[in-house]
Amino acid sequence: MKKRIVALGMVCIAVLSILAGCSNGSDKNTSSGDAGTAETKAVAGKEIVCIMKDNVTPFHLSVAEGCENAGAEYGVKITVQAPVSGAGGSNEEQAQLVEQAIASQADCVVIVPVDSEGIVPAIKKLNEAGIPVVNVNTKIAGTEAKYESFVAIENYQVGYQMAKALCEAMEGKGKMFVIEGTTGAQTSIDRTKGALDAIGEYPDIVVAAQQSATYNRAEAMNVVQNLLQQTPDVDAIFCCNDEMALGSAEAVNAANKTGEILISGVDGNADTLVAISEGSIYATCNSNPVGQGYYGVYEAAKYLSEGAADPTYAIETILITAENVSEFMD
Amino acid sequence: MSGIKKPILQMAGITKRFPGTLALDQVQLTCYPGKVHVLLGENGAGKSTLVKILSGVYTRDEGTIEFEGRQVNYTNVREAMAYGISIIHQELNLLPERTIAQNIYIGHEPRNQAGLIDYGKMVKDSRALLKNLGLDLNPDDYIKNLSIAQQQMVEVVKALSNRIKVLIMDEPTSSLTQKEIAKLFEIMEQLKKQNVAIIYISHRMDEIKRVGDQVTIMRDGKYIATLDAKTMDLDDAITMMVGRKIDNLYARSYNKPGKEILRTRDLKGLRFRNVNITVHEGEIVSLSGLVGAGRTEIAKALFGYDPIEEGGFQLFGEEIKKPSPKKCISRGMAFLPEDRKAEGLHLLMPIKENIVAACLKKDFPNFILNGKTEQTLGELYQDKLRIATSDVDKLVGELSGGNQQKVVIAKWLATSCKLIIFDEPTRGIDVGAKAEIYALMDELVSQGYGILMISSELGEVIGVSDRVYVMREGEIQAELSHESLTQENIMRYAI
Amino acid sequence: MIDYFKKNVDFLSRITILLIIVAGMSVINPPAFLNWNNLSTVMFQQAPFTILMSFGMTMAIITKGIDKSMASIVVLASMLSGSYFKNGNLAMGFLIALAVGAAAGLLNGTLITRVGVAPFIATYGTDFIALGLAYVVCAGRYIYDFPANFRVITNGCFIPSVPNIALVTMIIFILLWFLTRKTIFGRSMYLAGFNVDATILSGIDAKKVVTVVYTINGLLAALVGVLYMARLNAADPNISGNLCLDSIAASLIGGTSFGGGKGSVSNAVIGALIIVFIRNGMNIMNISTNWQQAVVGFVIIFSVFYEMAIGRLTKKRMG
Repeated sequence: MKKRIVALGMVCIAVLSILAGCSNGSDKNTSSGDAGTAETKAVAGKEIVCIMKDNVTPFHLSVAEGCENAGAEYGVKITVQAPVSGAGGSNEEQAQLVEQAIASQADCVVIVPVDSEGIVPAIKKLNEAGIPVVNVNTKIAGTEAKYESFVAIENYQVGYQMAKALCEAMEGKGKMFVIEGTTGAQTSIDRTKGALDAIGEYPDIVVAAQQSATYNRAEAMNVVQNLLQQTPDVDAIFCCNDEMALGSAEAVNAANKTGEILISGVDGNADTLVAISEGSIYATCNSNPVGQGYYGVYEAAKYLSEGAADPTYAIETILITAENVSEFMD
Repeated sequence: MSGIKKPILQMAGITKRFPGTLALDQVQLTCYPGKVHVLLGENGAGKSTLVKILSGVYTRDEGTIEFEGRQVNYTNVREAMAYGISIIHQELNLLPERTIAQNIYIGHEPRNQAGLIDYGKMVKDSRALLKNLGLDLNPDDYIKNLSIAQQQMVEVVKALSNRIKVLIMDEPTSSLTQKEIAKLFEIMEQLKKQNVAIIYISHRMDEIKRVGDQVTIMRDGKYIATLDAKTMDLDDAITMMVGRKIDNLYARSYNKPGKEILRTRDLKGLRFRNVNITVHEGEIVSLSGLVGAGRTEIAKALFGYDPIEEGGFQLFGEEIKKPSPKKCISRGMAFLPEDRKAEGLHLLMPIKENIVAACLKKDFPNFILNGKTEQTLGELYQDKLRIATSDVDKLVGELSGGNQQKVVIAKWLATSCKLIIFDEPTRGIDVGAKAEIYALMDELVSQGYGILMISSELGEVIGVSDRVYVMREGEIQAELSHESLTQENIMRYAI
Repeated sequence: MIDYFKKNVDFLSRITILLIIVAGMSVINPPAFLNWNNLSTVMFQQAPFTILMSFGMTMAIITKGIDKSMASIVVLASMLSGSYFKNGNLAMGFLIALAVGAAAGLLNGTLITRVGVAPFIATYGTDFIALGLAYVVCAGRYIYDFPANFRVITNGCFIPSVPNIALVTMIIFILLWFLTRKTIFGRSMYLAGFNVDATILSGIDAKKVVTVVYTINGLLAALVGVLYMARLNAADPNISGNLCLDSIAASLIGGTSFGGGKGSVSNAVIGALIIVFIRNGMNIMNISTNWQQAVVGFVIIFSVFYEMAIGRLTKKRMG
C-alpha cells in the first residue's frame, strides 16, 4: 500500500516535469500590423477584460495574443479570460465571466461570444452596470443588447470568397461537399450561406453533401471518410474552418486521393499553411485572429478615451494558396 | 379490574399462505386495553406475519379481526392506523436528515390556514408529547445525532402522535442496553396507564415477566397456548415454544476430539471482548446466545473480515497475525456467512463457478482456468453433497435454499480447509434439507474437520453440538458440554 | 449445436441486430454502403478506436464501476508523447504514453479501492485533471505532420489490405478475451462485479482486481491516443469528443449491465460496430450529424428493453 502511493507520487512528479518542459517555447510573435491612432493618454491604467471563446484552439489563443499586444501598446491593463470547458467554449461559463467582470468593476469588456443568442442576457447586465462592450468575431444577436463596436471579418464574405476560389479552380463544374461548423453557430451559418451563394453562381457545380463536423478535426475526418464512400468522385470540399479542412485532408489522404480533391478552410492557422505548402489543402484565408483581438482592444481604448468607437471594424482577409503561402509562414 | 374489561381486539382463525408455505394456520389472539400481550416463538413461528396482518402490511387469507366489538376489514397500513393500530418495526423507519418533530409528524404534518406546514405548532406539539412520556429530547434535534435507544423512543412518540389504541412493538429491545431497556419499560407503563393495548414481540425470556400480562405462544405458524405471564412457568413456555421431536432431525456420532485447531486469546472486537474459545478436530462447537450477543462478529473477526481490537488467535498452533480472508483460507479456515445470498454466493453465476471461487489459486496454479477441471470439480461436489440439479452450469440462484447452502459448503470443501465456521447454517431452509445439512456436519467432523457453529435456534444448538459457549452482550458466560445441554440451561446464561 | 445457441443467445442475438442494421443500410443505399471499400473503411479504420475504448469501459462496468476518464487520458497521453513521435523517437513516445495511461489508471484504481471514492466521481475527477493538463501542455499549438514511419502504426498494412490498426485491435481483443475468460484474474473480475462481499469472503483480493482493471483501462486509453495521432496526423486536444459517450453506449448496446458482473469484450465489439455503422450509414445518407446522437440514444434505450426481453426468455427456458 505504502509502496504503491510512493510509486504513484513518483509517476505524478515525472508527468509534471514533462508538462513543465513542454509548455514553454511555443510562443510566436505575430505582429498586429499598423496600430492605428487611438488616443492613449486617457486610457493608461484602465482595465479591459477580454473574454475569449475558449482557451484551447489556436485561433482564439491568437485573438487573445492580439488583445495583449494592443494592451501593451496603449498601457491598459488586459485581463484575458475564457471558458475552460474545452474547444468551442460554453455560454454558461462566459456568462459567469461577465458577472465576474461586473463585480471587479472592469472599465470595458471585449467579448467573443460562444453563442450569439445565449450571451444576450449577460451583455444586458453589462449595459445595466454601465460597462461598455466591444464585440469581436461572432456578432451578438438582436438589438436588445448594446455594444459600442463590432470587430470581425465578414463571415458571409469569407465563405463566399473561399467557395468562389474553389469553384474557379474547378473550372466551373463538378461535385462539392460543404462541411459546416457547430450547428447553430452564427459563424458557421454565415460562412455556409456565403459559400452556397457563390456555388449558386456556377450551374454546373452541385453540392453532393452538406454535413456538420462541429469545427472538429477528428470529426471531420470521419464524416468526410464516410461521404467519400457515397461520392468517391467529389472534386472539392469546402470547410467552415481550418481544423475541419485538416481532418478532410487526412480522410482524402487515407483514400489515396491527395491532390485530386481541392479542400478549403478558413482561419489560416499554422498547420493548414504547412498542408497548403505540401499540397494537401488548396486554400485558406488569413482571418487575422491577432488583428481581431488587437482591434477589439483598439476600439475599446478609443471608446474609453474619446467616448465613441467605430460601430463596425471589418478585418480584411487574404486568400492563401500555394502561390503566396510562404509569405504567411514563419 | 383486569378480568372485567372488554377486549379491544380479537383475532380468530387467522390463516396466511405464502407461495409454498403455510405461514399462519388458524391463529388467534386477544388483547385488552392497558395490557401488554407478549408473542413468544422461535424464528419462523409466524409472529411477525401475524402482526403484519394486524397492522395492515399483509392481508389475511382466512379468519376474522374484531376491533372494539366490530368486524374490521382493512387492507393497508393507512386504514389500520385510522383505527388506532400502529406498529414499531424491528428496523427503525426514521429519516436521519430530518428533525425529531418532522419525523414524529411525517405524513400528517399540522397545517396553518394557508395550507402550509406549521413547523412551529409541530415543534410545540412534539415537545408536549415528549414531555408527556418524560423524555428529555429537543424536537429540533436531527435524528442522525440520536442514539439507537433515543431513536426507538422517537418511534414510540411517532406512533403516539396518532390517536392510538393498539401499539405493536417488534423486538424493540434487541439493540438496547439494560439502562435503555429500563427506560423503554417505563414508557410502556405510561402507555398502559393511558389504556393502550400493547403487543410485544421479544426473544428475551426475562422481559416477559417484567412487562407482560398475557403470553401467547406460537410454533411453526400455529397457535399453541395463551398463558398468564405472571404465573406461567418459564421452562414450560420454552418447551411449548421449541417442542418438536428432535431425535430424528439431529443424528450425531459423538467422537473423541482430536488435536486442537483453534484457540483464541482474550479476543476483543466490534461487539465482543474477553473471548477465549477452542475448537478441536472432530467436534462441533457452538456459540449460542441471543441475536446481537456478538457471535457473528467473532466469526467475521476470526476470518479477517472485521478488525480485531485486542488479543489474537492460533490456527493449528500458528499465530495468525493481521488475518484476512485470503490468509485465513490459505491456513485452512472456512466461513459460511449467515446471509448466504449477500455474502456467500454469486447467485447469477453457474454452480461450478461458485464451487471453485475460493480455490482458484490452489487448483489453477498457473493463472489459467481449465474448463475441464472446473467441470470435474463441480460434478464431484454435486455428487458428494447431493446437490439437486441437472447441470452444474445452471445458475446458483435457481436452486432451493438447502441446495444453495450445499453449494457454499462445496465451495469450502474444495479448498483445503479443516476448520469451518457455520453462521446460522440452516436459516431459511426447510426441515428435510436441515436434516441433510446436520448429517453432513456430522460426517465432516467424523473425517477430522472442526466446526464452529453459530446458531440462534436452540434445538439446533442442543441437537448438534459437542460443546457450547453461551454468550451475552459480547462476553462468554458459560461453557457447556453436550451432556449438560438443555434449553433452560442455555437460556439461563443467555439472558 | 442447439446447446451452443442456447448458451450464446445473448451474443448471437446482438450479432443479429448488427446484421439487421447493416442490411437496412444496404437496402437504402446499396452502391455507397454495401461495398468492400466502405465496409472495410468502417470496420478497419473507424471502428477500432471505439472498440478499444469500449473494452475498457466494459471491464469497468463489469466491476460495477464506470471509467469517465478514458477519453481524457487519450488526449493527455497523445499530447505528452506527441513531440517524441514527431521527432521519430517512437520508443520514448510509447514509453511516455503508456506511463501516463498507467499512472492515470492507477490513480483511478487507488481512489476507488483504497480511498473509497465512488467510481463515477473518481474517474470524473481524473477526467478533468487529465484534460486540464493536456490543455496546459498543448497551449494551443497542435503537433501536426508526423513522420511516415510513425503513421504506419495505424495506416500501414502488415497483412495486405488489413490496416495495422485493425490488426492491433484484433490482438488486443484476443489478449483481453483470454484474460477475462480464461484466467483467474478474469474470473475474479466477474466474481467481484456480481458480489464483492462474497468475493472478498472467498479469499480474493477484490480491491487489487479492480485496481488492475482501471490500470488496464489507462493503458488502453494511452494506446488509443497514440493510434489516433497516427490516424489524424495530429495531436489534437479535441479528439476526445464522442469517444467517452460512444464507448459507454457500445458497452450498453453490447449488453453490459450497470448492475455489475454482466458483459464481455466480444459483446463490446458488436456494440461498437453497431454505433460506428449507424454513424457511417447516416453520413452516407446525408442525414444531419445531429440526428446521429438521437439515433444512438434510441438504440441504447432499445437495447435495454431488448435486454429485459432476453432476460424473460432465458428465465422461461430455465424454469
